[in-house]
Amino acid sequence: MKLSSFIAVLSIGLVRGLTAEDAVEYNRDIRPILSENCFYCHGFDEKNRKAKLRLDTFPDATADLGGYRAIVPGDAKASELIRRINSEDHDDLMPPPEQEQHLSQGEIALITSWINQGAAYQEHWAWRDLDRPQVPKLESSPSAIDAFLQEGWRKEQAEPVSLATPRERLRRLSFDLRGLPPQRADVIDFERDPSPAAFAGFRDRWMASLPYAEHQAVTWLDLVRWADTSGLVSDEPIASGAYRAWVIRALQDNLPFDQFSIYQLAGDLLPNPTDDQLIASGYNRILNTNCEAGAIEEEQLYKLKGEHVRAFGTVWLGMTTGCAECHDHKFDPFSAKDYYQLAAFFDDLVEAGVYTPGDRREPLHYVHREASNRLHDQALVQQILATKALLAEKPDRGLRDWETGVLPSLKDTESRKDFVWIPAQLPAPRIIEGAFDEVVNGGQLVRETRVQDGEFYRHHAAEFITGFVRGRSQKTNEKEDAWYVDVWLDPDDPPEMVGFQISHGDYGRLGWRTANYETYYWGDDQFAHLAQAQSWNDPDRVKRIGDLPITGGWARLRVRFDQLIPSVPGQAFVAVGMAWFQSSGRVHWGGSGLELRTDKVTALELGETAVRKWWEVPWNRQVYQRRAAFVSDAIRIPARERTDLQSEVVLDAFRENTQPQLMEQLRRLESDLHQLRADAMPVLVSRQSKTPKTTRVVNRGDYADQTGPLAVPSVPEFLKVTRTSVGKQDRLKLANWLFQEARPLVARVFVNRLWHQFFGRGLSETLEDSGMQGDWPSHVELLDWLASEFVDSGWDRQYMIRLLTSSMAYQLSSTPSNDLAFRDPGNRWHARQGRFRFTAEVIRDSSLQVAGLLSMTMTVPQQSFYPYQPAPYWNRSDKVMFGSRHLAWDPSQGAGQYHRSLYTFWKRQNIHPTMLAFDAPTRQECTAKRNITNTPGQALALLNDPIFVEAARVFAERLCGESISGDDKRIQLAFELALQRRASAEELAVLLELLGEQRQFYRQSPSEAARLISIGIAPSPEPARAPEIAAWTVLARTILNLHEFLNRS
Amino acid sequence: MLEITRRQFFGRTATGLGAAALGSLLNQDSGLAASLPNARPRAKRVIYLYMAGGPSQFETFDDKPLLREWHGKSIPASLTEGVKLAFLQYEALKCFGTDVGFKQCGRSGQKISNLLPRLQELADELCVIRTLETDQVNHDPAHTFMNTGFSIAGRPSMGAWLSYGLGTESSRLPGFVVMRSGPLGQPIPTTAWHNGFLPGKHQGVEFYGSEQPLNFLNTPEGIPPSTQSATIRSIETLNRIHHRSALDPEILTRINQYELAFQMQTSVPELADFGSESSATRALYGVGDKPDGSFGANCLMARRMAERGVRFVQLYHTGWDHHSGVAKGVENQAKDVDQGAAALLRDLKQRGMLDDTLVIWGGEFGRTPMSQGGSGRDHHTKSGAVWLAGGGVKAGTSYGETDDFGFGTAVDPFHVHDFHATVLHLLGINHKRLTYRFKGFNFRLTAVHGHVLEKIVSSPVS
Repeated sequence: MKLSSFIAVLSIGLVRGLTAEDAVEYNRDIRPILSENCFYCHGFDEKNRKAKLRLDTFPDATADLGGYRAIVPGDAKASELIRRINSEDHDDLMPPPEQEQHLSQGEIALITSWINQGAAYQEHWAWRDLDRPQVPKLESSPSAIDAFLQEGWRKEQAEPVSLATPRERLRRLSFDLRGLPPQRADVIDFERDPSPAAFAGFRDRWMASLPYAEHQAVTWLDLVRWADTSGLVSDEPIASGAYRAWVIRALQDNLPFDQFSIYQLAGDLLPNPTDDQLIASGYNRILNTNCEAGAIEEEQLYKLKGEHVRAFGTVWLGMTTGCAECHDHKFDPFSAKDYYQLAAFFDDLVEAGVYTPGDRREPLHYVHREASNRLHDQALVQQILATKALLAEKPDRGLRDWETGVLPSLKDTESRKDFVWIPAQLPAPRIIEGAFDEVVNGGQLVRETRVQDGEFYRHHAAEFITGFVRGRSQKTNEKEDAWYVDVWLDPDDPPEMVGFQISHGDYGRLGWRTANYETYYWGDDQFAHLAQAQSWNDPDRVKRIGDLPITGGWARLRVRFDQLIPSVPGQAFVAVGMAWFQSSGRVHWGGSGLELRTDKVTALELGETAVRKWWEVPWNRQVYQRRAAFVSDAIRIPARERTDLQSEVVLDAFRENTQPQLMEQLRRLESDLHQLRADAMPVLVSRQSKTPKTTRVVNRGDYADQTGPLAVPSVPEFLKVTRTSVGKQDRLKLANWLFQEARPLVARVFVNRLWHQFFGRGLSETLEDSGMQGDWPSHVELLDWLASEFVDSGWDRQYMIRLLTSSMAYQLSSTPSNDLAFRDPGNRWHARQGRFRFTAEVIRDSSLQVAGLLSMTMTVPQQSFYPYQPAPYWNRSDKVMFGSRHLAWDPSQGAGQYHRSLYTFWKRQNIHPTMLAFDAPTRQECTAKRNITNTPGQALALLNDPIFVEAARVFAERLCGESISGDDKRIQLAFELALQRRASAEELAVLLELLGEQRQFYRQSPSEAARLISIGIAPSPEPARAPEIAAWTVLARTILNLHEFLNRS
Repeated sequence: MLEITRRQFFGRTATGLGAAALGSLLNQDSGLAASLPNARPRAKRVIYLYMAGGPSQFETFDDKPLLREWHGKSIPASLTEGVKLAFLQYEALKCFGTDVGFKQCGRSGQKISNLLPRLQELADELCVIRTLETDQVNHDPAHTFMNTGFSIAGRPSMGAWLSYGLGTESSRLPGFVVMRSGPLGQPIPTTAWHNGFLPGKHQGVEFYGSEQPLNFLNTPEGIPPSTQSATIRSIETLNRIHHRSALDPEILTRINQYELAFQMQTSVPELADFGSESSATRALYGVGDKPDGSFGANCLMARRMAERGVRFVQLYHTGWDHHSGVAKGVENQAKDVDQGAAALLRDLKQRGMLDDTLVIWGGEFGRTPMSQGGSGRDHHTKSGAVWLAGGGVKAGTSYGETDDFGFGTAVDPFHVHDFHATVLHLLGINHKRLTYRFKGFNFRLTAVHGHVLEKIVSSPVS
C-alpha cells in the first residue's frame, strides 16, 4: 500500500464525516478543534487572553461584544466566529495566519453545523459527575462490557472477528497477567476444555502468584518514576528498594487502590503508621534530587515542588500540570494558583534542595527484622527525645559566662591537646569488622585482641555517631600534629608488629563504603601481610614508622602529619574510621585520635553539637559540609551579629557542654540506637518537618520572585471541592480528596489505563492526558460504567481485571477482517483484540523462562541486580564529584544474574542499553504509556546481547537434555516451550535445514562451538557435546528472535 | 473526503498504536521537511562540538582588557544584582583578568586566544558569538536545557528533532549519533540525546571511539558471519510464514530491521576503519589508522559519518569546568580540541562539504568574569562564547557584544532558544512548525520562544 492511500484509509477514522443522522456533539466534535486552534488565546488562561474573548464556555462565547456575538446559537451566519474563520482578509482571519494554525474545510463545516444546531456546550468527560450509565439491553444479554461494545458495532455496522484460538487466549492472559508465557501443558489442558470456567481457573491461579504482582508493578513504577538513583548529576543510589518491594506486595495482596494511594501520599500521617505505610510514603522521596555543589538551595527546593505536583497530576489526575508552573493552563481550567496551592500540600516534607553527595538522604526509617527491635528502636527514640527535652529546659542564664570561658581555648594557638576521636569503648560504629574482647587495664575498659604466633589480625570500625574528621584540614604544624593510638603490649606474648589504618570514605556522611586506607605500622611485617593487596589494603599506601614500642605499659603510636601518606587526589576526603592490627601476640587498645593545637581541638569538640543537630535532617551541602566548624565559628562572632541559626546552635552547645550527666545519658542512648540500627534496613520515607517550607505563587516560574501571595494547600478549583472542609489541609486530606470529591476523574483515569493494558489501547488513547487536549474516548459510557464499577467495588483492582478478562471482547482474535483493517485501523471499535510488541522486561524474562534460567522466588528482593551490560556503556560511574559514591556495574553472579527484569538496577541517567532499545523509560519523568518501536537496535540486542545468547545456549541444552530422539521431535519441543504450539511442516523444514547446516559447520569447527557455548556464566556443557549444543543454540536463537515470540496477539 | 495534511495526520496518530506501523513505514523517508513550507535549507547536516563543563570565554573568544585593569577589584554590584550564581553565591565578587593573550586574526580581525593557534588560522571561517545566555546555572539542568530547550529531562534533544524533521539520508546508519571524549569526571547523562516523546528511532545512538563503536554490534563469539546470515535468513523466512496468517505489517517492518541490523554490522566497522584515509588527512587530525577515543579521532569519525548521510553528529568533549586554574585548564583542553576542530573545518572545506555542513562549537554555559578562589571561574548564565561555521553561516563575523566586563550582553543576546531556532532555520525548518503532539499539546524544540537570528545567516548564493 502506498503511503498516500494508507493515509486516506486512516483519515476516515480520524475525522468523522457528517451525516444527517449525526448530531454534532461538542465534546466529541467541536472541543478538540477549538482547543487546538482557539483556546490558546481565547481560553482559560486569563493573562494570555486576547480581545477579552473566551470561547471555552457558553456564556462567554455568546456574550454581547458590543453589537455582535462570537457565537449566536442557532445562527451560524450571524456568528462573528464563523465570519472570522472564513475571512479572506489576512488581518481578519482566525486563527491568525502567523500562528501557523489552519482550520480545514471539514472543521469549519463541523463548527457551522454545531452553531446551527444550537451550540450546546458539554462539561468535559473526564471530570463531570460520575453517573453509572445504563447498560444497553441486547437480546443475547452479553456482559456489560460486551453490550457497550456491541452497541458501537451495530451503529458502525461492523462485524467483530471470531474468537481467538484457545492457545492464543491463554497466552494473552498469561502475558497480560504475569508477563510470562504459559506452560505448554496449560495450553493443552485449555485446548481440551476451553470453557469460561477453565479460563477463569487459570486467571485466578495466576493472579494469586507473585509473578502477577511483579508484572503489574512495572506499570506503577513507570508512573511514579521509581528508580535506584537520584537522577541528577552524580545520579547516586538512593534507598528506594523497599518501596518497590512494597508496591509488589501491595499488588499481590490486592490492597484497594484508595488505600494503596493514601499510604503513598501520606502513609506517615496515618495514626501509628506501620512499617509498610511508612515505606509506601517513600513515594514522596523517589523524585529527582540534586547534590551539585554550585546548586542554589532555594532554586532546588522550588524544583522539588514541581516534581511533586507533576507526579501527582500525572499519576492520579491524568493531567498535565507542569505548564501551570509559569502560566494558567492554556487548555484546561488549571490555574497557576492551583499549581502552587497543590505544591503547598508538600511543604511539610522534610527535604533538602541540595543534598550532600553520598548522603543516604534523610529522613530514613529503619525497618528491623525483629518486632522487638522495632519496639526497642521506638523506645530509644522516645528516651532520646525526652533527654533532649531535659537538656533544652536549661535556661540561657550563664550562656555568656560559658562562652567567655570557651573563647580562650578557641583562641589558644600556643598549647596542644589530644582530640579523642575514638575512645577505647567504640561510640557505636555502623561498620564493624573483626571481634575483640573488652577487658579492664589500668582502671579503664579497653579492647583486647590476641592471636597465634605468625597470625595477622585486624579489626575495623567506621561511621561513628560522632561523625567523621578531616584530619589534614586541622594542620597547624606538621611536625607536631599527629594521629595517635594508645596501646599496651603484653610483655609475655608480644606481637611482631602493631599498627593502625585510617579509613576514608569517598562520600559525605553516612557513607556507602570505606576506601583509600592509609596503613602505618611498627615492628616487622615478617610475613609480608601488608604487601598483599586487599579490599582494605593498598600495598602502595603502607608505611613503616618505627620499632615496636615498649611492652608491659601504655605506649603511644604516633604518626606526625609530615609522615602521612599523601591522600588520593580528589578522593581521600574525610576520615570515617580506623582499623587496628597486629601480627602475633596480645594487645590492648586504648583511645585513638589526633594531637593538635588547642584551638583546633576545642572547635572539633564543639562540633559534636552541630553533628547531632543535623544527624537526621538533610541539609544543604554547603552548610552541611561546614558543620564541624559551625559552632566554633558562631561563638567567635559577637552575639548580636549572629544569625538566628547561629544563636540557636550556640545555645545548644552551651546546654550540651554544661550538663555532662545528661549528655552522658544522651550519648549512651544514641549509641544504643545507632548500634541497633546498624542491622536494620534504612528506607526513604516521608516525614513532617516542624518548620514547614512555604510556597508562593510566583511569576513565570521564577523561584526568586518573592512578591506573589503565599499559597495555602488547596485542591484545584474546577474539580469542585467542597471548600467547607475544616481544619488544616495536609497530604492526608489531599489523598482522601482523591477518593471522595475527585473520584470521578481518578476512577476514569485508572480504568482507562487498565483497559489499555488488557486491550492494547486506552478507551481514551492519551493515558497521560485526560484534559481537554486529550483523546475523546471511543466509548465514553463504557468508560463511565467501568469507573462506577471500580468505585463501587471498593477500588478493587483484581475485581476490575476479572471483569475485563471475562468479556467476550477480550477473547477475540487480533487479526482484523478486511473491513476492520480498512475502516478501523486504530481499533477504536474494539471489534478485535489488540496486538503489540512486549515490553523490554517481558522479552528478557520470557527468553530466560524458556531457557529455564529465570530465577523465581517467593520473596521479593529489596536490592536490584546487575545483568550483563556492555563495558563501554558504563562499568563505573564516572562521577568524581567530591563525596559521591563511585558506583560499579559488576554483573550479578549465580542465580542473581537471572532475576526478573523489573529488578534491574535502574540508573536514571543510564538505564540498561537493551532496556532502552526496547523503549523502557528512563524514569526521570512519570510515564503513563511506553512507546512501542521497531528498530534495528532491537535486532542487534536480541541477536548479540549475551543475555539472549546465553538464554539460547541454555535453551539448547534443555532441548538436548530431553530423552527424545529425532531432530524434528526436538524442534517441536522447542516450539512448544517457546510458542506453545507445534511447528508447521514448512517451519520445520526451515529449521531442519538450518540445524543440518550448522551442525556440519560446528563439527568441523569445534573451537567455534566451544566459544559460543561458553558465553554467559551458566556452566558450559562438556566439550564433547559442544558442536551439537552450538548447532542447537543457533536454532534456539532463531526462535527467540521470532516476531511471534516478541509479540502479544 | 475531508482534507487532512500529512502533518496533521502524523501529529494525531503518531502517539497512538499506529505509531509503530507508521514509524516503520517512514523509516527511510525524508522526514517531515518535505511537507513543511519552510525556508530554503542552507545546511543538510550538523556536527556539534559540545564542550561540556562550560568553557571559559575569557580564555578563548572574549578578550576583555578592562578586566585586567580591574583585576582583583570588586565587580560593579549593578551588574551582578539578582543574577543566579553557583559557587560564588557565598563569595565576594572580584574581577579576574586573564593572563592569556589574544590575537587579531585573518582578514576579519576576530580576536581569538593564543591557546587556540589552529583555530586562529581559521578565523575567517567562524562566526563567533560572545553573548550566549541560558536559564540554568548548574551543569545537569544546563545540559538538558541546551540540548532540549527545557531544563527538566524528558523532552527530545535537538538531534532527535532534526532526525524527526529531516529523516536520515543513510539506510545503514542512524540519523543522530553521539560520541564522547575527554577526561572522566562530570557525567554527561545519556538522556541528553534521548528522543523524549518522539519515536525511538530518533534517539541519539552513542558510538564509542573504538573499532566496535556500537553496543551489540559484534556477532557473538563462535558465530561466524555465515551463521549470522543464515540465522537472519531463517528468522525472515519464519516471520514471513507467520505474516501469511497474522497479516501484521509490523512483521514486515521487523524483517526490514533485521536486514538493516545485519548491514550495520558491516557498515559501522567500515566507518571506524581509518585505513582508507590518506596519511595527510590522518596527520591533519593527528590520528592513526583507527579510532582511539580522542577528540581528534572523533572529529574524523564525524566527517566520515557526515559523508555517509548521518544528519546530526554530536561530539561531547568533557573537562571544561574550571572552578580553579582556568588558564592552565583551558590550555590543556585546547591541546585536545584545537587541532581536531580546525582539522574538521579544513577537511570539510577541502571536500566541498563545509557549505552544507553546519559546525557548532560551544558548551552548556559560559563562565564568570569574576574569579573563584583566585584562579578559577564559576558557571555563568549571562555570557559565554560559541562559534558556528559552515552551512549558511556568515563566515568571518562576530555576533553579539558583551559589556566591558564581559558580564552580560551589551548588543545582540544569543539565547539558547534563539540558538535552536536559528539552527533549525539553517536546516530549512521553521521552528514554529516542527511540532509533535504529546500529552495533548503540540510540543516544539523552542516551546513558545525563539527568534531566528538573521544576522548570523549569510545571504544565499543563487
